[in-house]
Amino acid sequence: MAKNIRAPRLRISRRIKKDQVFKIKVKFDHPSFTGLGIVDDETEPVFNRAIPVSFIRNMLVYYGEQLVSRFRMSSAISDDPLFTFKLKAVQEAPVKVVFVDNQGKRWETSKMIKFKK
Amino acid sequence: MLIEEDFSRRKFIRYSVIGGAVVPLLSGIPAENEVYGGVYNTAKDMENLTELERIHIPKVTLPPVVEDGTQASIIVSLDHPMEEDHYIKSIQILNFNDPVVIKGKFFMTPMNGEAFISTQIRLAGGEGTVWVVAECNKHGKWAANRTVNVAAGGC
Repeated sequence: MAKNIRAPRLRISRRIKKDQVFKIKVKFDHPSFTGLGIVDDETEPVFNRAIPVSFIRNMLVYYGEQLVSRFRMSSAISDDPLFTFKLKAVQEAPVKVVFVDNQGKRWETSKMIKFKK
Repeated sequence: MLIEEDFSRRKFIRYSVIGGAVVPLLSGIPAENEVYGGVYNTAKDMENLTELERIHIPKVTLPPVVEDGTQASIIVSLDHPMEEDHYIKSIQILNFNDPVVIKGKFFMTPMNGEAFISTQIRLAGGEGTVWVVAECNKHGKWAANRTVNVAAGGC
């Protein structure tokens, strides 16, 4: 489990042509945990709220000014998740990814999309 | 007016037997399947998919055995067009065996170009079934599942 939160990092191919569908990878080191603990390991697993829950609630993806994707997550997403998704290169504009956790804290990262000449 | 009564004891028993067999049979045939928050379609025959099924059934990549339930990698993709009037609206990942059933819901637009998502999820220990439900803006929800065995639970 990651102890520290690290700013999200965005990875995009440098060779993008217009109208190409390209892959975006976003890594965010954030301690996501359900907060659940097993009450009695020997019997049927019964879960209780052992520690405060912490997780990434939303991931918003903007291309230019437009919101193109929204990923709503639960505490069952892993620690330090790596997300991979796709976008269609329709314009030269920045891609911005915003993360919001369950306590309302925000982090963002962005990268400019430039077409290969 | 006199209504002639031709309903014999024999006919009554016959209709009761037929009714008793048919009613439970019909009620047991689901018109569509149901899942958390909606109705979904599945492939009738995975070997012979129809064109509608081929583009709507999510392709799920998840290892059958997961050693560490805190980091189970899952990849979901669809061969569905992402056009303005016909596209995949969302992909949802669930596991009904886990204390946290819904892992996440990924909302998409035609700007995504392809319906594709890869992430890592937490799974509880033991055998479970991970369900993926994709929603098309025209053709509703479509589901696929993968059975997974988790050595060390991650919830």
